[in-house]
Amino acid sequence: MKKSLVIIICLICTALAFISCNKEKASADAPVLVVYATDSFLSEWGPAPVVFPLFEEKYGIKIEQRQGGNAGEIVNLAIMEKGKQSADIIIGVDNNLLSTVLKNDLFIPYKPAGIENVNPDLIFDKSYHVIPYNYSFFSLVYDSGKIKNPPKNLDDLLDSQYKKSLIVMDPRTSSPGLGFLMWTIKCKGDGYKDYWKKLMPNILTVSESWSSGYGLFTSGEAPMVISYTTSPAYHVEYEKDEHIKTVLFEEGNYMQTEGVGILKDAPHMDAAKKFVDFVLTTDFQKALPLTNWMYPVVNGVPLPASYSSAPISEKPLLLDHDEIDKNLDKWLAGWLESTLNK
Amino acid sequence: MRKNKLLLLLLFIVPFLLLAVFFYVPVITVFITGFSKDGLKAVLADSYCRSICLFSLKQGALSTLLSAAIGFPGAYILARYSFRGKGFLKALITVPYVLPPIAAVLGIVLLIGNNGIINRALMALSVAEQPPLQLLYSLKAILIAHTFYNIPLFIRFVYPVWENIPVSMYEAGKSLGAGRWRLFRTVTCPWLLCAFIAACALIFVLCFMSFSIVLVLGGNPQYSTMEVEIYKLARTTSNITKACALGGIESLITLLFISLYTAAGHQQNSYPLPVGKHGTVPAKKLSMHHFPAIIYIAFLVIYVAMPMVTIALNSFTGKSGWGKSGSFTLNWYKAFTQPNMYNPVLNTLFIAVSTVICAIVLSIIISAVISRWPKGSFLIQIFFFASLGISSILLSLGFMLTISNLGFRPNGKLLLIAVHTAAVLPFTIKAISLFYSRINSRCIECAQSLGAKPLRILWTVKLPMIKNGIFTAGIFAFAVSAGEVNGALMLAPEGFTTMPVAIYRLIGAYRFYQACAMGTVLLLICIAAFYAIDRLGEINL
Repeated sequence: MKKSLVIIICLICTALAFISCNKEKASADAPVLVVYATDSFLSEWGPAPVVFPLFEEKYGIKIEQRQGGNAGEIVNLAIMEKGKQSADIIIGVDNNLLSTVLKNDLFIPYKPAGIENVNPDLIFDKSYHVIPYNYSFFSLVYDSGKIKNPPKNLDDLLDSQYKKSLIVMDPRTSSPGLGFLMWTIKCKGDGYKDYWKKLMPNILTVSESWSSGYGLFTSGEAPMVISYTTSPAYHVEYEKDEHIKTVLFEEGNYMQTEGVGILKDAPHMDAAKKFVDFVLTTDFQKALPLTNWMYPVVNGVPLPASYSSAPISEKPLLLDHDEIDKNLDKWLAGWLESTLNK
Repeated sequence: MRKNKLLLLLLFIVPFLLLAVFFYVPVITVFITGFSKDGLKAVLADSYCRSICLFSLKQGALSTLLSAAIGFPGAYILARYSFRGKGFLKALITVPYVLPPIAAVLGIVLLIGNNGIINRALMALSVAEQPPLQLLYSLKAILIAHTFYNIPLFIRFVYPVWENIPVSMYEAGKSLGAGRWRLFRTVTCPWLLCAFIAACALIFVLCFMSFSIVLVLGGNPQYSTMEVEIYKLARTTSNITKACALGGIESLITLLFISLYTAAGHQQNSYPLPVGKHGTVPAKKLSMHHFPAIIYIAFLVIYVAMPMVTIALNSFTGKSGWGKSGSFTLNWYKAFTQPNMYNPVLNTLFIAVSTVICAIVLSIIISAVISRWPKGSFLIQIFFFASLGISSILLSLGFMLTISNLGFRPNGKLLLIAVHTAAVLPFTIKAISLFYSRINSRCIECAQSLGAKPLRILWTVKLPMIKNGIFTAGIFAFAVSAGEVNGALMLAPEGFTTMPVAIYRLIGAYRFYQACAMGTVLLLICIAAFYAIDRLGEINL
């Protein structure tokens, strides 16, 4: 009796498994666009669920998403697939990856309609292989309940009053981590090693990803964290909490810009171009601040009220992508060396 | 008869194919692409690579020793005592597996961090300025996190073996006049040795390859494992040659320990199973006299459950506390009425249940083959177990290379189930073959002589004898599948999110407390599933 009960349960489970598997056959007739995008873009809480349906409705083109992890992984995958490309566009290529994609001749140049509405300073690829859609600045984010006098520049951050008060990310494994390292290199030149040596006593921990670092900050482990100028806006928007603030440094803040590119030999070239045009429309742009937590690149797109807590730096900093490409190994080794000799 | 054998052979090939396709092909592809002598030379010449290799070994060894030392009494108590809530305790100690490392790290920080529950309580009591308990961001913290995961693993491995030592062994010893200590030394210890070695080898491999725990809780880049360096080489600086060389060295080291794991398990499979209802030492009822045992159980529950409890507490927090009292809310649970929250729950259940069924069926077949062909069984087991010791970063890279060689991107739920099945086979085969290899051949001969067909023998003789193994396997399969992230990220079809992936995405989207709610639901589902599977195992089929 019990035996047969167990069999019946097993059979039902297997049957359910196959039923739900066979549901996913899609109709293949409608025109499609195959999109590679970062996991955070495609996430349920990211921009994709908002903007993809708008595009599909507007152009009657079905979007097929392919997830592949972070931007670096997707670019690697696309490089491996060169010549037998199945995807049309990549969403989420940032300025750090520019030299890689240009070197590998991954994208075609395309100047979309509406590019004249983009602040020229934000067009980080003047050859139009990668078209920017949003940007933000790495910055020091702090809990104003605990830090009354936030540091105003990189040197202030070395002050002994901030002992073990800062969470940073590892530049070897995280893009804000790399961004902060670049920031120190841009401002300090070769002196960055010395700077990091002096900074170490103020660092509570070096986390492997932005997520765990910011999670630690959220749980109150340390009052300061390296994040984005846009981070406080989340807490204002969703938690009605204005405690979390950011500070623009006097020497400027290092910038991150994300863009979209059309892959060479894209099977659906027309749809791909339409999508890149769509990226610079207000429909797409206005969704970004509250889903991707970055500033839209198109002038005049209204920002949500919570963005009053997310100041835009007047002095954006950026290293030349060729220089990064040439020196990255050396810089990471130098960073490691200076953090080890405590 | 011949037809049956052919069918068995076909079924037997399936698990090999699974492992080959989802594990060996990607790994070999990576090494073909990237491995070269120059890369190996570069790695060996690099003093930093040597030092992280040493550190990986050191923290792995320390974590293993601690887990074994602390877990040993636990295995004894679970094997020899019966008490109320034992089933729940067994379910509870299996749960840490399903927690993605990021959630485990946050749970531990919420408990013993500078602003954790314990420090806040101590500070409120003593009006101290600085948090009095400074455990985190050091080697100690790494060991705490690793033992949180692995004390339960050790107990899970050792206690069933302890429980199943035939009572006849002890009776023989007693009749020869041996005392308690002598019995422990001459009966229990040798009997447990293999399980002990197998558990330690596995724990070592898992800790050796640890990644985010070591970085975040270590607090300083001087605490990095080889996995961190492989990540950097493969993903940040795109130096695939060096990544492969380092990954190769890492795999050689893990392979050594996996051989140990396999050999120990292999040896253990030759021990006889206790016969009949009264074949084992009867469990004693736990009473107040056994207060050390009670204290130990309390310690274990606190150690294992507290980080998870803190996650649950945070899921009721309205907004980031920052020292002030975060307000109580059910908002994060109300969010489960949205498809983006409840779908991951359904998806995880579906994938995990399917994986459990597939893995058990395939493992029974493999176990049958292993028991019939003892000479080849060591190699067969190594073939399945080796997958535990390959860098997950290289494996993902291998997946990508393989997919790009295919020229199209396969994805689908069946594929995900296949990958999960491949991932759990090393655990399920071990759990089932442990019992299958020890089936008394005379029972089978009896059944045959009474005219039973092979299927009937399987159903009425073999399955009841390997029942314990099957249910342990079921628990492992459910746990590994419910907690798996990499495959679920890469191979799941569009819009098909599992719970661990949702946890990562929620934290990545600032929704820390909502992620805690998702984590709590994952933990509750798993506790319920483990408890149910365990109870199912106690029903006499």
